[in-house]
Amino acid sequence: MDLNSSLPLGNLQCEQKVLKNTDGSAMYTAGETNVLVGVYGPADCKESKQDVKQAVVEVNFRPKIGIPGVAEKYMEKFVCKICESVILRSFHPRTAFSVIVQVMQDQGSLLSCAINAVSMALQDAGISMRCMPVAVTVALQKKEKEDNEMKDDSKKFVISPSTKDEEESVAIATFVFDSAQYDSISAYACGPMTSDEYRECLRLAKEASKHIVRFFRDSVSRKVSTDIR
Amino acid sequence: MMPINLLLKLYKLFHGITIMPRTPAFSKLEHEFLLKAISTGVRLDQRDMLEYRKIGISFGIDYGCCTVEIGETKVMAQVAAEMDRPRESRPSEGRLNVHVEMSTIAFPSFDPTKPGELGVGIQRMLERSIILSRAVDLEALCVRVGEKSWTIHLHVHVLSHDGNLIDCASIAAITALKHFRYPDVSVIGQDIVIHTMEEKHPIPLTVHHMPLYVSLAFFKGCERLAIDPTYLEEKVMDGKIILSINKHKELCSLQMNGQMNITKEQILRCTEIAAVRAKTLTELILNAIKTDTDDKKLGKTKSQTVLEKSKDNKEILKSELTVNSQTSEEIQIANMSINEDAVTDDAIKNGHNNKTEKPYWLTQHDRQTCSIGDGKVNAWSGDGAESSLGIFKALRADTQPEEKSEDENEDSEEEVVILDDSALET
Repeated sequence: MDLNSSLPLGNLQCEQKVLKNTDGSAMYTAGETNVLVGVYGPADCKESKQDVKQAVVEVNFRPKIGIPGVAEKYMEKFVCKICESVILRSFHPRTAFSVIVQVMQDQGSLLSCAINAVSMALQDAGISMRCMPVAVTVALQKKEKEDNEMKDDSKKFVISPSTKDEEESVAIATFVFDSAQYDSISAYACGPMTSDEYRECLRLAKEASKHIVRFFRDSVSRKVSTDIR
Repeated sequence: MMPINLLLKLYKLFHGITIMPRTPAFSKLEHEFLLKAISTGVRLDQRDMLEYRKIGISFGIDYGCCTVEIGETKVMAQVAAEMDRPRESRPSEGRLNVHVEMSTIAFPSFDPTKPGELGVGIQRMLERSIILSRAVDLEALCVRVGEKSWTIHLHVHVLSHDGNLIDCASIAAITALKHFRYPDVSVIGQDIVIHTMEEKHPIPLTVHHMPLYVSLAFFKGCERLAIDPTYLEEKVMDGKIILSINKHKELCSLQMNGQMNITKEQILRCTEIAAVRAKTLTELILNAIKTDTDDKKLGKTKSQTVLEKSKDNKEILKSELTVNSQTSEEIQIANMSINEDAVTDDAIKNGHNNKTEKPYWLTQHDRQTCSIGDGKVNAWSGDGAESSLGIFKALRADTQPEEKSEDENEDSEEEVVILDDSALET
């Protein structure tokens, strides 16, 4: 198994407070994938959508070309559920949080990039959260071998795969962890995978998520230090 | 495949923002303060009245994608091509569609499902300036007459709104069109083969000229002129003149918003300012695209580092009107505009005096009209322009047609951009 290929997370960049009118915003770049997120909230909410006990979260996913379709709706739902579980919603009853995710450039691992961007934007907006969600995508690639298919060394795990890696892979899994305990919050997987392979993906993703949390911390401290200056 | 309009309608049915549309509070006191400051020639962001904000143009990996920032206003444009049938009425032409997406991300009161007055306005203005001035060669997009042609979709995403959206959107749109490449096609007998980017080099769009919008805001009963207004300035202004002009000083579109009572001299001065601005912007855009292509060439040998490099394209573009006037004509405009910054009634009279010693590049056609540069046909009225925009008619209401026809005979071979709504038919 090739562990080396799994370690580099690609080029990570994050810029907070990029938009003027939103309460919080972040431009997050992972590898070549680039996502812009704006957050409003806690804000006034239409009466028909209010919840008496807790705040409502709404996520809007906007692709670059055309109008949002089924794939976007799925990601909206996925991100929405994560936000709902992370934000301390009971602090703000009868209000709404609106999260808008604008895809700027999609070169693979879009879902994990979007979740990390949302996480940074929520942090920028100063919304009270249980923890920060951290997402990692792992792709499983298998080389076709005629003789010994049972051999393990034909497998390759790629962390934060590019579009090309995603096309070549047999299965892709995205894991979301909490930044405090590194417990799993949510997971998404597609493609055939044995339970051992899944566990291996989870282990690698957890390892990588620690790097990303460190990156989060660095970029926030950098932002705060420039703010003071 | 469902038609896009139907899809849009369906989408609108099921989406809608949950948060109540809020616009940031703007008190009467603020309103008065801002106006008072502007009347003394001071702006909130410490700019001169004729100074532009910082402009940044950045590109991604994708062809035909660019993000333009003017100050805190931010617009992303993405161009996409699709193989389609040409219009029945124009079988030998491709199509160019403009879509403006007003996301809530830009402003709390924007609704992505309904573009609103502002969104529709921007879309119409972009159509007018780019399609009607024939900036893109649509005939080159035809693959087989009446059967196959490319349809170009120009998606303009408004990401942040801090005034002067239309300038930002037009720069983004033109830059994206200029940057875009569509796949090569070969026609073998009855078959049409679309080559992938790897097989054959993709082709750039033919952009004849680059019409760019410049907006100029008027304050205090049209006494004060400010360029590149911010959101707050747009709230307190009387109205603005929005001109689309290219670097050849050809006016492609003109629009006046709000309640203004301005003189012909003021409009002409606006076109002069806009012409200089358009020239600088065109240079900036071409420069940005060149830097990007150079970077991409390097990127292929090393690795893809286009994203970081694109930030190098950011250039501080201060108006040449106030700083570093290079050419003589720019100095002249600067002098003219700054002297008459306060366009009071007296100043307008001064403007008349200035007209007598008019600059060499201003060609006077008759008493009321003149054009920038020499030898351009006055396309503002004349025989074929009965259906032209009302603005131009109003401008030329009291001129003698005899003088006009002479001018046109002289320069009839010159290229004329006809501003006519009838050219945009569906």
